[in-house]
Amino acid sequence: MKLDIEGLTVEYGQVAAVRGLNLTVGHGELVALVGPSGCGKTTTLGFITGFIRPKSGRVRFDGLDVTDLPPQRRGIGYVFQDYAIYPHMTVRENIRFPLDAAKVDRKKAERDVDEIAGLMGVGNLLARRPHQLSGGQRQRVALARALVKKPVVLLLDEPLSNLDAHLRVEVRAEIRRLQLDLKMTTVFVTHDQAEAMAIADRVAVMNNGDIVALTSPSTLYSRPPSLFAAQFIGSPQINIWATDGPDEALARRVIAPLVGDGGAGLLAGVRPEHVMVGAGDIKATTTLTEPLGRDFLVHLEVGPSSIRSLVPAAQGALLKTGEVVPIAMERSHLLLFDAATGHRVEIDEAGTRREDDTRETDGGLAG
Amino acid sequence: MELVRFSLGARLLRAVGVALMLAFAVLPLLWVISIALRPGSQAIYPISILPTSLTLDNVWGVLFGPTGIGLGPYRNAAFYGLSSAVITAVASTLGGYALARYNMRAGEGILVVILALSFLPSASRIVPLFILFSASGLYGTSQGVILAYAAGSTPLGIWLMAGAFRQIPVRLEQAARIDGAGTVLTMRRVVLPLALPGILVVATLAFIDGWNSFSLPLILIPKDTAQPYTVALQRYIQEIGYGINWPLLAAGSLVALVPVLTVFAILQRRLVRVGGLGGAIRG
Repeated sequence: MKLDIEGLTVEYGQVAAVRGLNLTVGHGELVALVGPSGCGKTTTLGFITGFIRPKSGRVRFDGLDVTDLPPQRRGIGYVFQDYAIYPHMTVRENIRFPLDAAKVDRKKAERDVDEIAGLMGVGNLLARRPHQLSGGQRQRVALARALVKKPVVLLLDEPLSNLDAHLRVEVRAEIRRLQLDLKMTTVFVTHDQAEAMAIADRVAVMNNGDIVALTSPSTLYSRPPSLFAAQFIGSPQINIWATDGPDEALARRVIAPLVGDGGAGLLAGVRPEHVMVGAGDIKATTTLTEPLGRDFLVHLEVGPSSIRSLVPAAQGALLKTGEVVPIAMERSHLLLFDAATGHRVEIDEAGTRREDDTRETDGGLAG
Repeated sequence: MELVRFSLGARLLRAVGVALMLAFAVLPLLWVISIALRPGSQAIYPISILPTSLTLDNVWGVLFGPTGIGLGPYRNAAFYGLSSAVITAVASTLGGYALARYNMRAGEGILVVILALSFLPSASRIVPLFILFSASGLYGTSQGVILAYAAGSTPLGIWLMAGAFRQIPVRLEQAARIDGAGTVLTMRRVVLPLALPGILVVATLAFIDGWNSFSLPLILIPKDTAQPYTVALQRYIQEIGYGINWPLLAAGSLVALVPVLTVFAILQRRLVRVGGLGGAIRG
């Protein structure tokens, strides 16, 4: 099933929560909506379900306009952040509820419940009541209830945020595996950029009520279409230096190999893992080292500018605070942004600047 | 948690206070029982606190004896009370849901007015109701009494049900919608089962209100038609020429206690267990 959202604008009083959003999710594709709180991602989900009435905009399932259908007639599967399992029903009754609502024959309904419960690993919990389940088990029951009626589209609203950290990674992989197996068209809302990157075919970064970047996780990371996306994706955060202002000296030096004119009006961006410590022609002072396990996050200073670098733990452990070390930036991973528009800029052989247009063209799996 | 320790004096004072309140509530009841269960010969001056022998003669007499009021008045009171309970439960559920779920600007104001209404003494309604019922032909009918009871119980009922519905997460209703359930199924399978403890409380309060009601039926029902026991028992105060017939009056009151205590005995666990929502939202 293909999901289309066209020109969605939602206003709460005078405030626009979503402004003119367009999104197409291809059959069997998983698109993650990610962004800071208040960016409009849950509102967008609410529009797909039909609970939120837009000021303008249409939603289509396989080309069929469902904008005016009530939620119960859209055939959506939905997993709430807090699961919203019916507390007075057993697990079996919970999972069977969508089938009861669709007046599915009782015998067939019971078979379907057994099948999906087995698939979700809750087959042995069917007689229990929700308060007897752990968080992870409730999560699976919610997922089973969403999937049992074979929904046209699966919507997941922060489904992992109430789980323990270790369980989160496990369930994330389970959801992805299941989604791929069932070829389920899925929209996954999260505020966690790492989660979005890990699970999605394409990631839609939202800010201020619109999608500001929509592309595959790897492209989003290595060639983010905008400064906002570059800063939102990746931890520790990308280094950004402006060619005017306090970081001018460092910025101009970093981008000098790429631009002849000194790069006025540009921002230079380098991810911490592309700042190499131990060789190079820039002298930096170590101000702090943080062990992160596999890596060390090293904070450095060059004049007034600060730099974050990720180095292997073996190397990081040897660095001392106050030590002056040579550093270098990997030129192939250097990112440039237009300071005025925030768009990523590429510079060709002739030195001509061209703005990234990934936002409009990248289709990912969709097509 | 910090344990608050009272001095011996404070604890004694508190114990005395509690004992006084308890005595105020329980002593009249014990006295009624004491009078009701003693032979009529012991219910005249000089009277003893405790009877020397116990008998059910008075209870039998009030129910089946020649000067008894019979079973009818109890049946009437039960019919009025139960009918009022059903009407109150339905009306309070509908009203409470509307106040809890629909984003009415005046919602809070309406709730306050409703609560204030429920505190008005029923006596304040009697004259207007009498005029209204006389004019509309409801005077003397059981429908009229039931309506009057329900009207008295519904304000508090709406207020209680609004609170009960507010405890049910809207998410559960949305989940039901997404699962394909329309309004009726969402109500029947999700909302009402979760609101059932609240509905039982409201219905119970309405029944007891109706069962115990005295002044409303006294005014709204003419003599000798379908009176509840509260009104019927009056004959032992007014109509007998030899003063008040205390033994039968007490026995009649004692019988009236039975349904009230039975309802509480059956429902107390359900009434207290307001929760029932564990597991809907993350634990």
